[in-house]
Amino acid sequence: MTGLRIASLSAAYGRRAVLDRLALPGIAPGEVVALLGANGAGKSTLLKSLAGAMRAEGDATLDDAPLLALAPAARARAVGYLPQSLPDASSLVAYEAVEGALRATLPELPRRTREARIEATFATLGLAGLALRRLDTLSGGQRQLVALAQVLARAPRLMLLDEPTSALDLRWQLFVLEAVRDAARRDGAVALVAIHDINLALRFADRVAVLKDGRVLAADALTPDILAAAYGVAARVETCSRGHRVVIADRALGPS
Amino acid sequence: MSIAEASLAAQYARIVGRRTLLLAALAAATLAAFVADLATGAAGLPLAEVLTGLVAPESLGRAARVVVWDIRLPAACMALAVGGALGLAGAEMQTALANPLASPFTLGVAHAAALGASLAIVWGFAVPGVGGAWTLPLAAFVFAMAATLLVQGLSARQGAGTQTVVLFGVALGFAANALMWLVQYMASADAVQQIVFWSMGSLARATWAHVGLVAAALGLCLPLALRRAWAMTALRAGEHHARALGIGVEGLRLAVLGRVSVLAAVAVAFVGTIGFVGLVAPHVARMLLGEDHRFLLPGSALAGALMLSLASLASKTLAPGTLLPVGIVTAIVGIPMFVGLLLAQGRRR
Repeated sequence: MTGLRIASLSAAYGRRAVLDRLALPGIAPGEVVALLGANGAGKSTLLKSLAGAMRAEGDATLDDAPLLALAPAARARAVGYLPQSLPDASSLVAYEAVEGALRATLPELPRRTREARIEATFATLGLAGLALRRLDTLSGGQRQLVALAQVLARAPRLMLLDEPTSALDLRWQLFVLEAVRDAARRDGAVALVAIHDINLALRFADRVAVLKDGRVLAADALTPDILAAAYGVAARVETCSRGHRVVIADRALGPS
Repeated sequence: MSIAEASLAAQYARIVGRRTLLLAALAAATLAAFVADLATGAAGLPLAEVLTGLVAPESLGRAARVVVWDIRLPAACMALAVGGALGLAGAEMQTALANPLASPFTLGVAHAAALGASLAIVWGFAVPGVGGAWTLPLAAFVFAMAATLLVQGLSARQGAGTQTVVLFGVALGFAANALMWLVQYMASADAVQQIVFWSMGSLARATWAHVGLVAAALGLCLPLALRRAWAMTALRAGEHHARALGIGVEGLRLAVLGRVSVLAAVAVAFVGTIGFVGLVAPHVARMLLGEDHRFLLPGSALAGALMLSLASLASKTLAPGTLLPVGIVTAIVGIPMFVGLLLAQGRRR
């Protein structure tokens, strides 16, 4: 099948296993899947493993090609990974940070195409006013947007975004997730987005996958039982006046 | 102005154009400093005579020809080559280790070279097949390379985090320093004096063969560094972000450390420990040119060459009749310049 398929994925930090034969139902091109789960559940590790930023074993395919066996350069062409850490506040100009990302991953791109893509990406993210500023004059959230621009400009087949909204205010959170969803639909790309805000995830993702202890606990609807198991909270799943599902967490549960 | 001209690409092109101009200005300043360095010296030759002598050596008298061709020109060229080598090494290292304090001295390379030189002076050994004049630089070079290999080997075992590399380097520098003191403590007064003078740095012992070697190292390393300029630029956004672009950060870092050790080792071997240039030249270049490594790398080499040329000039003019050690002058002249630049940059923000 095209899209992303993870039959089994294992990864470890030293001897501590973080992903334990994790399997995820197939994700079709154009689909956005939000990864939920408590701290340490394996969300970041899953994204890093798929991005090739850490060693992992198992069976995962992107558009029927074995993802884990791809050479770094080939993987960087197909996969756009946004790390959780913000880009360093160097004196790099935002424009050249994105240009550098394109040159590093798609060196054969003609200059005009490259320039047009950078221009379009900055416009999509509402960043045109910042493009010629240095990273060390930008706020943390603005630098996070530049890093996201590095991913979107490349139009990868698979977007792996680790907390893309962690440094952003409310308006930008909505704006960015909309941009990611639009890009996925337009390019027929798969987007896997690790996110802490459950309601934001429900609002923008086509599906959610809840991780716990390095495995997928649930990959369809959220229920109070799943939330209790994943996060250790007593929570309700209700429907708002516009028919969207909303999670309301009432209290933390004691150690089970 | 049409809309197309105001596009981001066009605006960015203007930034690139300004950087090209600044790089050219830096090159012009370096050339001017080089000429001034050539025209200055105890023999008191006028500038015009020196310049004519460069084009037509036969126009000079025998004594003047020796002064220009055998004393001043090798020293002035050495200042350019060593300054360029240290500047480039510093810039590469600061990016690769993501540390603004990194320089060839951070990894203990220069300290190890000084230790090698001390041992050569104290033991007065001669390597078979190597002329006496080459023994000291050779010892310095071998120790500098050994230091780099040791740091690289140790850090590779630890997974080569940047902080680990820096910490190993700093520790190695202290160890080399302590050993050098031990050597000095045991050595004769005469040898101690020689060691001290050697470590203060001097361009006066430059020969054409030495200049050629340093220039060859620089000529080899600069194009290799420029081939990875975009990867180095990407690395400035952070290691994770560079890795996300498929850049083999470990391989890149290893290549950088290899180049740095060659550059630093030849520079220190022939001229002595001139530390300041490798640290500051990249900062000067970064303030002027930004962090696009297509500009930063050659800019750092030029800034280093400029600084050492000016230091060479100052070493001849600060105390008339005395040739001060260039290592001392570099710091005395360079530090106020650097602080001034920092303050000016602070005001601009």
